[in-house]
This record gives sequence, structure tokens and C-alpha cells, in this order.
Amino acid sequence: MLTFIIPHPTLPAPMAEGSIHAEGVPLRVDPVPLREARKRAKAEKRTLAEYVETALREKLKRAQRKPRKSRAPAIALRGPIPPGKLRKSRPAPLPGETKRQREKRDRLFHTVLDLSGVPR
Amino acid sequence: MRFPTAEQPGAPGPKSCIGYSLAVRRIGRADVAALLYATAVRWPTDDARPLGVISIDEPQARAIGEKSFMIDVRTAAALPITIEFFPHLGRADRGIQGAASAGLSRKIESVLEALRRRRIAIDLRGPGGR
Repeated sequence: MLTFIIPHPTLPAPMAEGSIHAEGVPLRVDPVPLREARKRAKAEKRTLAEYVETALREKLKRAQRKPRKSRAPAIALRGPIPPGKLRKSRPAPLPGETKRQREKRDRLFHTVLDLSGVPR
Repeated sequence: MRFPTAEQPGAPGPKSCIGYSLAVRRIGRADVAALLYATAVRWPTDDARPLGVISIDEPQARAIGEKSFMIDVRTAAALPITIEFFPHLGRADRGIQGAASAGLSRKIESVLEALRRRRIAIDLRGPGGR
């Protein structure tokens, strides 16, 4: 876990990517993620400060993104139903209905559309 | 359900009445019900009744809390499942009065087949300008 504490004014400012005047911030970091971060930074041939800053930037970028709209199930269709959409509609599963019964309903539905002149 | 009238085929009709649910279809994530109209019109004899009209006799009708009525297979509607068209959606039974017998389902199927053979058109109503 990264814990931010008050910036130490006496520490030299390390140069990190994307910033000309990077600010030195003493951090207390849990040794386990710190060890992992050091390992990964080394693998990427970067300093720990660069690695932590990149991780921080990515985290902040994600936080700024607009939350996705939840896809709540809609049960109501508003406005006109185009005949083409009606023809391409699929049978809604009914509780306890067998595949055969569903196919039969499907056939009857399309017969009604045929007889009412809805194009195939 | 509030079936659209012939005069205003895209809008909910003035009063709620019983119908036969032929199918429930899904368009995107919305459901649309395909229904057959019911009518209280009576014909003097069974022979006088036009092809496409099925009589639901007193005992059958009573089982779903109705008086005898007719199902008119020649008139159908494709309606979005909304409170405007289905005013009893909020009820515990969602406005479903009962299940059709297998015999009635078979009868409807055979009538539809007869209409198809004789090329008798079905009046399909509902929002969508068909």
C-alpha cells in the first residue's frame, strides 16, 4: 500500500518522465508491493521513481474517465416498432417452454406477419 | 390489454379487454407481445361466423373469469410491453388471466393455417405504421 505523507522540502527533486520539475515526496510503502515494484522497474530498465510515477499517472487517468453507463435490462420499448425489426425479433424465452413449443410459437408468429403483409 | 382501434392503430385503445397472447418477441432488450384480439360480437349461428373467429364457450371463459367471447384471429397486434398498452402490468399476475388450453392453441394454429391457404389478410395493429 502506498501512503502519502507530507512532502519533505529538503529532499532533492528527482527527474521523472513527463515533468521538468519533479517534486520529491517521501513515501511509506508496504515492503511487499515495494519489492514487486522494484523488480518490475528493473525488468523495464527504469528507476523505481519512474515506475511509481507511471503507475500513479495510469491510476489517475483511470479515475478521470467517465464511469460507464450501467446496462440495466430494458423491458419497455418506446416509440414505433419498425416492421423489419418485428420480423427479425427473436422469441423471448417463456418459463417452462420446450424448444418444440418455442419453434411452434415462432412459426405462428411469422404466419401472422406473412398474412399481415410484413415483408420477409 | 388496451388494444389499438382500427381508427388509431398505433395508440392504446380506450378500454382494457382480454386477448390471446400468441408470442412474446424480443427486439434488442425490449419485449413485444404479439396478440390476437377478442370480440364480444355474436353471430346468429356457428355457420354464420366468419373464418378466423373462434368461439370461447361459457365454461372455458368462466375458467378465466370472463363471459363467453370470440377470438378474432383476423385481427392481431404487436405491442410493446408497457403500462400504456398493458394497464395491469403492475398487478401480481401482471394481467395474465389464465393459460389457454392445448385444444385452443391447436384450434388457433389450424385457423391460421386456413387463413394462410385462403390468403385472407390479417389486420396487424400497433405502433410502427404497418
